[in-house]
Parts: sequence; structure tokens; C-alpha cells
Amino acid sequence: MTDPARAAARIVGLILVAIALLYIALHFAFRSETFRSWTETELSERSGLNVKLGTLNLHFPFRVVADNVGISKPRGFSFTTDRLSLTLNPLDLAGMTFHRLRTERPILQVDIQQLGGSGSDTAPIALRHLNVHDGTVVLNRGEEKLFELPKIDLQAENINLGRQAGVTLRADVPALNGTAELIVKGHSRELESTVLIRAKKTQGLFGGDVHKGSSSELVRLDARFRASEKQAAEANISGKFHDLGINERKLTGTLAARINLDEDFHNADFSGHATLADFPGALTSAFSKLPNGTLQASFAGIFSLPQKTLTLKSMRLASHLGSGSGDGEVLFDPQPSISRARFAWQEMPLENLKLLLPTPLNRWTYEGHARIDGETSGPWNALAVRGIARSENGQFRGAEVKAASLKVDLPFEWGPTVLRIAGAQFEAGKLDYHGKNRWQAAVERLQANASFALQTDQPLRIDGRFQTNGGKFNSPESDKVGENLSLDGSFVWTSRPVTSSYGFDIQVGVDAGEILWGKFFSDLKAPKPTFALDADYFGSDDRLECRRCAVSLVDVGTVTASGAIAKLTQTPELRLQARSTRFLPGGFFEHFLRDNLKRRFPILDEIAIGGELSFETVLRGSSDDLSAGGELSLKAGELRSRSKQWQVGPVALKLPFEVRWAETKRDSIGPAPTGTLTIERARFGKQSLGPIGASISLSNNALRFHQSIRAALFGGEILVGALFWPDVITDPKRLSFSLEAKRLDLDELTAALQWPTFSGTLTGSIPEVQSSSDRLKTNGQIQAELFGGNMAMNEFEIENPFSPLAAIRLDADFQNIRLEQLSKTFAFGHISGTVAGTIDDLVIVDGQPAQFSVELHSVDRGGEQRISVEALDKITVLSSGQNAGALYGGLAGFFDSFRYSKLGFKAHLKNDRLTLRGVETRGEQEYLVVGSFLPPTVNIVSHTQAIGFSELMRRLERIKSSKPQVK
Amino acid sequence: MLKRTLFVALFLVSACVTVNIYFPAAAVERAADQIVKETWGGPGESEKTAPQPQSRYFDLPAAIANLSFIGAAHAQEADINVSNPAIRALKDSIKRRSEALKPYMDLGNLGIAQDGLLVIRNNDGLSLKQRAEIKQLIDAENRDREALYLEIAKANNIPNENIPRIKSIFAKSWIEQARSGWWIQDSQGSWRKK
Repeated sequence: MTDPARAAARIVGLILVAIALLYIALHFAFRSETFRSWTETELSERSGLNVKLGTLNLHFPFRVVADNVGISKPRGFSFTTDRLSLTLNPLDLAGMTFHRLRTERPILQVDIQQLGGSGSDTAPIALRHLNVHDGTVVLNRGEEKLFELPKIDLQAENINLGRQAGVTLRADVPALNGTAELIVKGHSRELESTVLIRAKKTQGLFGGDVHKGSSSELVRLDARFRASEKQAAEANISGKFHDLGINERKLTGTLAARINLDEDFHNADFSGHATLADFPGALTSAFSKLPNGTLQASFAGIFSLPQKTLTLKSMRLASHLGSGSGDGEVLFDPQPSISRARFAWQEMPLENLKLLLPTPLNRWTYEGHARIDGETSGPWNALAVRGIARSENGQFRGAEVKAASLKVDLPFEWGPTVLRIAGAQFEAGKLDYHGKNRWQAAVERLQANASFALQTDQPLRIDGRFQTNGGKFNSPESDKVGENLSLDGSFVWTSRPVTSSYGFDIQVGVDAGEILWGKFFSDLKAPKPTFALDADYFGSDDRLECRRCAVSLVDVGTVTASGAIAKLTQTPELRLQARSTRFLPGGFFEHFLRDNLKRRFPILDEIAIGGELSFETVLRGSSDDLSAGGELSLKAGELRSRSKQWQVGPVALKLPFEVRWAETKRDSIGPAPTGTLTIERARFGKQSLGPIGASISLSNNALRFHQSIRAALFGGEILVGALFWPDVITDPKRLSFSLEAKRLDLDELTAALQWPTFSGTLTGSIPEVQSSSDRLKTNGQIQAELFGGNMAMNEFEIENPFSPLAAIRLDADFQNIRLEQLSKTFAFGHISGTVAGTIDDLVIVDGQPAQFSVELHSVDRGGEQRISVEALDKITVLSSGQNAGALYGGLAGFFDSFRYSKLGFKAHLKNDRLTLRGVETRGEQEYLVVGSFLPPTVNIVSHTQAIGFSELMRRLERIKSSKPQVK
Repeated sequence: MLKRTLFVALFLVSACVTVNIYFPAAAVERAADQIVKETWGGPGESEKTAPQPQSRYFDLPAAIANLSFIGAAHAQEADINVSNPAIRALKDSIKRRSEALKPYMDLGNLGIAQDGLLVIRNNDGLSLKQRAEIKQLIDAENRDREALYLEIAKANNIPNENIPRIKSIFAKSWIEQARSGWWIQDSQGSWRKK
């Protein structure tokens, strides 16, 4: 190193040492009490203020830190701070500019009465950076505190203090993700300020801005403040905001307001006008579906500085969604909140509001308007709104549904997390439904009320009741119709989006109405059916899970079911348990069957049914293959004629069953479980029988009696065995059984049938009786002992057994019939002898013989055979229609009876024409009675071969009523 | 000898008369008119009285006189038989029911179709109960009418394939004897008031 360099270095070193020593000296000097006091005094004298410093320190390099600082001006202001840190830049000192002023927990109290005063001169001090942490500003008026604004954090730059100086304050506004800039110009009596809030620029990796150019303005407010001496101050504000983000919403609009402060600076009257674009979507996402437009608002009110209260005296709103008005009060301490506010919104077009409704309601066309009246309160970020929405004269129309009138009252409570509707009332008039499947339904009036609470992440549940009047429905072919239906019910509906399911609990009662279902009619006023459905529907797999589904009918009972139905809207598949503990078949018969079926089956109008059924069954399958299995019980069952001529019961039944409705039957697996049938008593006229019991089974549609039914009747016994229906479900008319009768007393039997009584016995065995839809056939024979002889009946059949025109067919032959008994029984005079014969192709329809071929002839037993005059006369009447008259009169005077050698006839009846032939034909003559060789003897010859049936009936009636013509 | 033989042979041949029994349309018509009148018409004839008992005889000269040398002959149509218990029961049933059906015929709710059966034309002015009632009534009425035609065929040994003809003849009678103001259907299927 050269000498000059060495010398220069030596000099620099000395200077640095001197500076260091000077800095050290200053450091200690600042900390001295003397320096602190001197500094206080100097600052006070130079500023004209009272300055107090607690401690004073110098921090490297040029930062002066004072603790517990107090600066005040009597009746002006006072400033205190816990710490004041002033950073100096030696290069700026000459321009009276401080680099940075930082203050912690400062409190600035200002007497507004002294603001704008002539004041003392102030030093033209400038600040490059101002940092305030946890500051408080208090406005006083004399001793009265007017306003306090705490928790102020501020970063400002380039602040010029002084009479004509300007202020530029900048601060980050994290809530808006922007930066705010406050520019204030003018003097204390007339200030102009501009507030700008800009969106924050995104910083690049090396600190540069990602987006070139100026950042967008979110808010721009221009204010002019003027305060004349001894006059109230006023301010005019105008501004606009664009995409101003508040609570995740972006607001765009304008604001223009005028504020008049009173002389005491207590109250500020304000009025103004604002607009908000994209209303209402800009305010809340709940209304994002509504069409957006511009909201115009005009307002007026008072702001009270001491109470930090804003009273909105009036507010008028206008938009495409109606108009509104309101008033209220907002508190700003400790945070902005609405203490009370009322609002009313009217003329809201329902057609616009429909967009808030779920599908398909949002596709209908609406007419009419709605109105909302309400009030709100609470913190600004957690407002609670209560009110009622109403619509008086609405109408709606959809593709399939319409209503001529709609009235809605919807009380609501809307909070930060929940929208609650309690007791909403709906009333629709002339509600019509025309389905695409051509089913139609309508109600004159539908009333409903509902309550629900809508919360985020909570399933929606709606509770309510409904009532309809004048309901009706019609199937496409008009064969299923309902009219005058009045329904009353309740419902709970729950939506569970997480599981894509809906739950509902519906109870519906039918108070009145009439139903026509095909040919079946029912007036529902008496049975008053009620339906209950407590189930969940899972849309993802089209499944209905029924917890409890029930149908109840007055005087009939209740049937409940639970289980599942899969493919509900396609081809339903059932897996249900159904049960009833008390089902009255008599009530069901009276309500639904008697009147509907009595024309087809007149006997139904004569019977009554009693008893109590209970059953439990499992239903499985679809409509084309459905099975049911379970157990059926009947107690105190009864079947009787209403005239009480006959009665069967009490009947008890316990029957396990398994039946199926399907194209094909399933093969039986294992033995069928059996039950029991017990008939305690049966009465037919004066005949009683019972008890009768049997074990029965119903399995795979086959109903079988495992034991014969034995009944003591008419002095004998009837045995019905092997009673069997192969398929009682699909072909109930097909059955088979065996029948055995043992020595039934004909006296009792004919008396019970109201026939002319005659004695004898009836015994028979029909091993098999088979019944199909149109015929009942037998094989076997029934023997009757009667009139001293016997009769055998064969080929017994009944055609159309279940029809009013049932035709009974049989053949019979008889032997050794004693004519004495026969003639006596039928009051046919007196005839002795024995007859035999046959009856072929006997057909009885409607209780009358339709056809027969009869052959009857006497059998010579060797004894005398006689016939009385009375019998002769009756035979004559029967064959000719006329009395023997004078012919017998002459002879009868001498004889009571005549001998005969043989008698008989052949008769053929068909189509009401009876052809009568004698027992013997001689030439053209038909002999009904052939006289004996020995007198007195008589022959009866018939010249009449064809007799009309009605004529025959007339003759028989005449015979019955006639007295003997001769002695 | 030869002439006599030929004459006898000719006589025998001509005496072999074939009697063809055709469908007794005229007799069925008479029967249909009478039954319709008895059941639905005004005061009808009393039931045909049975023929008085007569001795049977054979009028040989008349029979010979009626012989024709033409091979086939047509039997003169006698009345068909329309009286047996089944037919009487059906007629009674139809007659009893007619009083319940006539008001609905007068109102136009029911009409007589071209096949002679009753149909529901409209339900105007009817309660549901009345609609159920007339449905049951016309089902029963049509069932009885069909059964009547079947019984007439059976009683007169008319083959089943001719039952539609009986039905057609009865249809004509039902329509002809319908009261003025009742709705009837013509052969083209159009409805008109009688």
C-alpha cells in the first residue's frame, strides 16, 4: 500500500471510530433521564403541545423508540401510545420527512369542537410510512364521548401533515382480498376524500406483478365534506362498486348519499339512492335460479354517533321481482347488527318464483303474485329473518295438472344455517289432473298445511296434513270411477339425498265418497276406509320398503303389511308379510259383495255371514307368479239365511295354507300341513246336526278334507268323503267328493222339503261326484225304500249347477211300489196292487220337470186288484180333462170300486208337451186301466195322447182340489 | 203285368218323399215377436194354450192327395216350441227385469245394438250406483237373452250353428218393438232414435 492510500485509510478509520464513538455516546445519551426531559421540553415548546415520554431509546441504526408516550392539547386532542417508534433516514431529515412512524396501542382522543378551529401553526412534517397497531380513535365533544372506534390497524404511506397537506392512507383489506386507499385533500372545513379499494395483485416469484397493468377497482367512493363555522356539517358521497366480494358474493352497483351532521355532531341525517346489479342472485346463492335484474333503492335515516346506531326511517326498493319497503335499526357496537327491521315485498310474480321450486313444479306456468312481510335481526353476517309469504289469487297450469285458484300462506324463519317453515297453508281450488296414461282426477278443493326445516347436510322432512272435498277420478275406460270423495289425512315426507331415498308416512281417511270398480259399487260413507303407508322408497333400485302399510274398514277390520316391493314402477315383485288379527267377513260381505252380486246370484241376498277371521301370510312374487303362504283362522263363523230358516255355525277353522297364482302349478313338496274345521251346529228347518269336524289342508292350491264329514240327519246319516278341490284358486267350481246316505227317513225329509210327506227310507252311495264349471256328475246309485217298494236312482247330474237355470238329470227305476200307500199319500183315491217302472231322462229345471220318459205298469201278484171310483174319476180327469160324470154316476151308485187286471201308462214329456200312452194298445185305443174278467170291472181308454204342459198342470190342480164325485 | 209292375214301381218311387227341414225362420220370427211382446212389449198375448186333446187319426186320402211326384218336398213350417221350464224361467226373468231397464232406455243411457243385445250408450245423469246397477242389469239381461236363444235351439233340435240366426231374428224383433224414443243401432252401426 502506498503512503497516500495508507494515510487515507488511516483517516477513514479514524472517522469511523469517531462515528462509532459518537453513536455510542448518542445511545447512552438517549437513555439518560436528562436527555429525555430535554426532549420532552423541546418538543413541547416547538409544537405547542404537551409531550410526555416514558422512556427514550436509540435503536440501531436510526430508530428512536419511546415508551408510554403522551401528546395532548387541552380541549383539543390527546394522543397516548404504549410505544412509539420513529425510524429516521438521515437523507430525509433535511426535508422534515420521517421514514417510518410506528405506534402500538395508540389512543387518539379528539374534541370535534376544536376541529376546524384556527389552531396553531403546525410543522410541515411528512411521513413516508405510518404503522398503527391496535389503535383507538375517540371523538369527544367537550367532556362527552361521542364515538369510539377501537381495534384500528393501519398502514399508511406518504402522509403530509399541515394545513393544505394531503393524506394518502393505504391498507390491506384481507376480507375483500384487496387494498384500500384513502386520499384526503383540503383543509379541515372542506375536505375531499376518495376511497379506492382495488383487488390485490398476484405477486410473481420474484416479487413482480403477475398481471400487468392496474388492478381492478372494487370500490370507488368520492366524498366531499364541508363544515362551516357555527353551521352543521354536510357530506355528499357518490360511488360505485364492481364485483365487490362480500361473503362469497360479488356486488356491483352505485351509491349516492347526502349526510347532514347536526351542530352537536350527535346525529347525522342521511338520504340517498343505490342500485345493485344482478339482483337477487348477487345477494344469495339461494336465489341464483331467479332471473336477475337491477334493484333500485332509496333510503333515508339517522345515524347516531353516541349510540353508534343507524336508524333507517324509510327504504323503498324496486326491481323486476316486485317492490318493497322497510325500516329498521342497525347497531355498530360492538359489531354491526340489526336490532330490528321490518320489510314488505309485494307484486312478486309467481312465474319467476317457480324457478325456486323442485321439478316438476318449476315447469308449470303460474299466474298471480306473492307478497312477503317480515322482520329481521341479528349480526350482519348471521341475520335471522322471520316473516310470511302469501299469495292470494294464484293459478298454475302444467302439462298434466292445473288449478283454477291457489292460495298460499307461508310463515318462515330464515337463519344462517336453517330455513324453517312452520304451518304453511295451501289451498287449491278446482285442481285437475289429466295423466298421460289417460287417468283423470280432480278435487273441488284441496287444503294442506305443512312444516319443514331446510338445513345444509340434513335430510329434508316435511310434516303436514291435507283435506280434500269433491274429489273424483276416472280410469281411461271409465270403468273405474270415484266421485264425491272427501279425504283427510296427514303425511311426513323425508328426502335423503345421500341414499337417494324418500321416506313417507301417510295416513289417509276417506270420510265420504262413492267408488265404481267395474261392476262393483261401494258407498264409502259406511266403511270409511283408512289407509296408512309408512315406507321408504329407494329410487336407485326402484324399491319400496314398507315398514307398516295398512288398510282399515269400519265393521270389517284392518289388514297390515310390511316388507318390500322391488321394481315398483315396472313389474312389481312382492316380498310382504300381511296380517290381520280381526277381519269380519260379514262386514266385508255387507259393504262390498251383497248388493253387487245379488242380481247374478239371488241367494246372496238371502244370506248373512258372521264370524271373525285372522290371518298371517307371506306374499312373494310378481303379478304373473304370486304365492301366498301362512295361516288362516276363523272363530264364531256363521252362515245363515236372513229369514233364519237355516243356519250353519258357530264354525271354527284353523288352516295353514299355501296358494299360488301362476300359469303353471308347482309340484308339491312333502305332505301338506293340516288344519281343522269344526262346525258346532247346523240347522235346516227343524233339523239340527253337529258337531261336525274334519282335518283339512290347503297346499299348492289344492283344498282337501282328510276326513269324511259325517252328519246325522233325517234320522239317518250322511257321509261326505274325499272332499277335494284340485285348484281352489283358479278353478273353484271343480271339486270331487263321495256321498253316502244311510237310511234317511223320508217322512222327515219330505216334510223338510215341503213335499207331500210319505214314509220310507233313503240309502245310497255315490262313490264319486265330480263338479266342473258347468256340470256336476256322479257315478253310483241311491236307493230309496218307499211306498213299500224301492227305487234306485242313477246317472244323477246337475247341469250349470251354479246358475239359476240349473238342470237336474237322473234316471230311476222302481219296483214293488204299493199302490195303496201311493194313492193314499197323494190323495188319489184308493188303488190296490203293485206297480213297477222306470223314469228315464228326467230333467228338472227351475223346480219343474222339463222332460222325462216314464213307464209304469202294474205287477200281477195274484191277488185282487181294485180301483176306487174316486181314483177312476181322477184318472179320467187327468187323461181327458173331464169328469167321468154321468157314466160313473150311474154305476157308482152300486159300486165303490172296480176290479182291474192291469193298469199303467207311458208318458213322455218334452217342450211342455206330454204324450200319454196306455199300458195296453188295442187298435187305436190306449188302455190306462184294463178291467178284470170278473165284474165289477172297468176299462179306462184314453183318446188323448198329447197334452200341453199347462193343461196338465191345470188338471193336476183340479185333481188336488176335487172331492170325490161319486160315493 | 209289366205295366202294373211299372206303375207300382213308379208309385213306390214317387212315394219316397224326402222331407227337408230347413231352418224354421218364419216360425222363429213368430216366436220372437211373441216373446218380445210378452216380455218387453205392451200387454202381450197370454201363453199359448196347449192344443186341446184330440184323438189321433190319419187322413189317408189327404195324405195321398198331398203326395207329389217331385222327389223332394218341403214340410209346412209349424210353430216352434217355445215353452218349457227353462224358456219360461228365462222369459219371466226378462220380463221382471224389463221394468227396471225401461227407464234407462227412455233416458237414452241404454240402447239396443244391432245384435239385439243391450249396450250402455252413455252415463249422463247417472250416479255411480246407477251406473253399477245398469251394468249388472244389462249383463244379466244379455246373459238371459243368449241363454234364451240356446234353449229355443235345444227345444227345437236346431243345430248350435244356427243360433246366430235365431239371435239375428230376435234382434229384429227387439228393434221393431222398441218404443219410440229408444235408441237403436242400424246394420251400419249408426245409432238413431226410434
